[in-house]
Amino acid sequence: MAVDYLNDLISIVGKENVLTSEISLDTYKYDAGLIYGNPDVVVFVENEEQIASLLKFANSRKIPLVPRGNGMGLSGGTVAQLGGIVMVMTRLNKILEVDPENRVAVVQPGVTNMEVQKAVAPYGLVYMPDPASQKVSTMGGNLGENAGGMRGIKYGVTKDHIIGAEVILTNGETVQIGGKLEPIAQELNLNLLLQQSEGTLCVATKIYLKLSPAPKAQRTMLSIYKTLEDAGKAVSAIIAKGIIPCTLELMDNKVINAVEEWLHIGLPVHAGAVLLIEVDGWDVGLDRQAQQIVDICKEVGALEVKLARNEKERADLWVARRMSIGAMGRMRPNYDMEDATVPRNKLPEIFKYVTSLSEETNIPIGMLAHAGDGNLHPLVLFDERDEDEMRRVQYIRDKLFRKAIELGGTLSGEHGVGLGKLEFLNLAISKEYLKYMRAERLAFDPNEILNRGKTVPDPAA
Amino acid sequence: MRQETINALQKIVGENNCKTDEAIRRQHGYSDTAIPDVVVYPQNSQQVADIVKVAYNEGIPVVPWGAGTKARIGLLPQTGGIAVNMTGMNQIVEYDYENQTAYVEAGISYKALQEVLITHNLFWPVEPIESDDCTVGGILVSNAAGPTKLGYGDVKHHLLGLEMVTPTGDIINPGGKTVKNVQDYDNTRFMVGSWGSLGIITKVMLKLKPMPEKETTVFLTFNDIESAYAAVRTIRNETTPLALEMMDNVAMSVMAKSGFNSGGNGVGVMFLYSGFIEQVDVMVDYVQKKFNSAVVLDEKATATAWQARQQMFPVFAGQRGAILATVAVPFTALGRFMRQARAELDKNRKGAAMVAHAGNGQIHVLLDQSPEAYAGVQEIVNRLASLASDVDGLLVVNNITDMTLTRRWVEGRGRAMIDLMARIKSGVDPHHIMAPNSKVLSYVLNGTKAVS
Repeated sequence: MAVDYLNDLISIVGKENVLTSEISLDTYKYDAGLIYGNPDVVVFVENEEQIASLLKFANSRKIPLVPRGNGMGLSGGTVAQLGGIVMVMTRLNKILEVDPENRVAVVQPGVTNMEVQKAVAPYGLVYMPDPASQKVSTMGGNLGENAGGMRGIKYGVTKDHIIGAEVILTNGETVQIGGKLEPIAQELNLNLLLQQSEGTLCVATKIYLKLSPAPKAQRTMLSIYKTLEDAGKAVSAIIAKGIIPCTLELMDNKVINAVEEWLHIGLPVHAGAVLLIEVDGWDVGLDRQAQQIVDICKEVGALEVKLARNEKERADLWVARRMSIGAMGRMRPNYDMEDATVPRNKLPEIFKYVTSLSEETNIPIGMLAHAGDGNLHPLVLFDERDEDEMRRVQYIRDKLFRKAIELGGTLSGEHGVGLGKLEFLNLAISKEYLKYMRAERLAFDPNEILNRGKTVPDPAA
Repeated sequence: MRQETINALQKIVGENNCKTDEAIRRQHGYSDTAIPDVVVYPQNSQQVADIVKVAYNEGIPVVPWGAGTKARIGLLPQTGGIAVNMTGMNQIVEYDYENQTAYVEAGISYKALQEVLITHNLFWPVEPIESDDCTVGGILVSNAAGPTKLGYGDVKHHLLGLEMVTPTGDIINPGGKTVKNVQDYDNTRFMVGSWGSLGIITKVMLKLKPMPEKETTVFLTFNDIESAYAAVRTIRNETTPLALEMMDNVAMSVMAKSGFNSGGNGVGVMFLYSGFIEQVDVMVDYVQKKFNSAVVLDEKATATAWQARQQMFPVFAGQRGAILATVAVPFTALGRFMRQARAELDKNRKGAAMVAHAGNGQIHVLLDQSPEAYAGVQEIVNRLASLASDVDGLLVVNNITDMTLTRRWVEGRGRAMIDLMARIKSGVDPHHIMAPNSKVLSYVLNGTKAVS
């Protein structure tokens, strides 16, 4: 679409930061998922003043605007499906402050999660959330989507570790929400509303992160099961014993084989599923905790439990987990990674259901799960050029989400609603609740310029 | 209030659950004159929704009410309107110990809840400083917490979902039952500390924890704040306490009134380790080596000490009443602030006590003056506020009606702040009926004075 406001944008950010060529627009038409939408123009911003001016301008003209980090989202959250402006935030990439003793870091939104980890590690600190995308995904994106990770079960997710943000509203005004101090003032805690708001409320330009002391030691285990359901049953059993591991990840036979074929780590290729389990804390007592877990796993039917004996073995297990999506991606032209959750003790039931869906549709599905959180990542493999396959994939999605909700779960554990889950939103969110959320959304962004049509869509539109 | 309105409320909750006698209204009031017109006791969520609909249609203020233990901390005096006493909704709807969740009605008392949870060795890791009667709904909207928030986090970390009635009378369900959930705005947590101003919580999905294997409390006494703070730094930075409290010498004498004697005069540091046996033991050993005066409290002394800590404010306040101020500072500035504040208090408020959630950088200042006579301490409060601000901290006074300091603080973070909050309130509560006397929005809204 021809844009009649290019000169306005150029006056705000300069000519070199306004992209309109076909190839540029193509580059910014997708995220890490399968939803596409061409923006009319891509704008790179460098500082708060430019962002404020750009927001004010877009607001005055009611032009849809999509803030974007490195585009690692999986629900179409940064796709400009209505055209308009994509505002790229990655040049705001400074770590502004690491305050070790107060255990706070202040960062710009374009900093990646991994850069934060590297900056705080020398002080013996960590920023707990570690999404699989951490090498690439930005902190602005982590905040907007409430990114999860591998140790959510013990340490929580993004929203448990972001304590404030400086944000710019669509009217161009800056406000500071939360910050370093305990929130003692008698005011609404807006910081809690920003988390997982998917860029529909305002644009964060500074983010306050809570840091934690790094755990002193770990024990890492691989528990091997004959079937996927057996592994599912073990998850609840471990937690019921009162031990909360920091990691409790599941990989099924398809995932194990995909990884093994690629990386030759020595994974048990005949297992129905494995659980990667890690406990951490002070070194003393960890051996007993690990042994308790080994015992429970065996009690509920593990074929074998292997304890990593050294750092190399531990690293191998983690490589297997971290590379599993990539490994599965090698098998077919496309994959769709779903993100439903169920209460932990419903895992065996939903695993069984997914297996039956795979057989029914003849579409391969690998199962990966943040099992301790009840968060499934079924990897559905297909070729998007094959229309019949696409119909069957759609059928799987539909059935899966309905089942997850029926079991007391949700549409998404950590990827968000964005555009990808809109068609299922009414399964999970009543129209009365949508009305309430829209009132909140409009209080921040009355003209709905930010990520219009996503997350909390206007039912009339 | 019109008789027709009272009739309509009676029809919803039944005559027995709709009270207009003065004694009951006074129990839900703020002063001799500021009392509601009617108190209703709904028995289920639909009744709450129907009550709110009546109020919405007629523009009548509605104030949800739990045990009333913190009402004067978070609400301003208000005359008229409907008080919705939630204690009739006190059931556990579902205790799913396998998933470590409990779905409870908001009016259940803290004590009744924990008694059921312990039957499966689980508990809700929120430890409000209020009495055992306080309700889960009240804990949530008042963001109540106690010393263990250092290790466990506060209320928001232990919630998964809600059922609530919106200010327009709809029943909605933010959140859910699973620990990861990003299909809505996080209204579950946003309600924390909202003091009823955004809706009435009717049910809460709680996230539970297994009971720790072992807990050990250690006590240290120092001659002055400076050396006590040095110890606090060591303890927080080199071990992982679940709670880390610091009491100045006046606060210690208040604890002594409750029966806890530390065996020495001076500034107390009390901290708690919790978790697996070996890990608790290794940390206790560590601090005993660092501080040879460390006293590991036995079971009885532990109970007495934490009870005395919990009773600090009521015992201090006694019959006279007391003003409670809360200060937040960066952890690194805690020692400096407390030292300077104590020096300031010693000049003309020797009776004032300070007690800190030291690990969190949060200090309570207890001033020996009744809240009605706030003017008498305003000067010293202002001086403490400026000491806090010197170290990038903040002071608020909790149990008075003057919101000047709070408004100044909020505005100081962006002139758009007040407008933004006003738009949120008006968006979800177009008739401004929900707890219009909540302090959290009182300074934001104009023209919402309660009418009856």
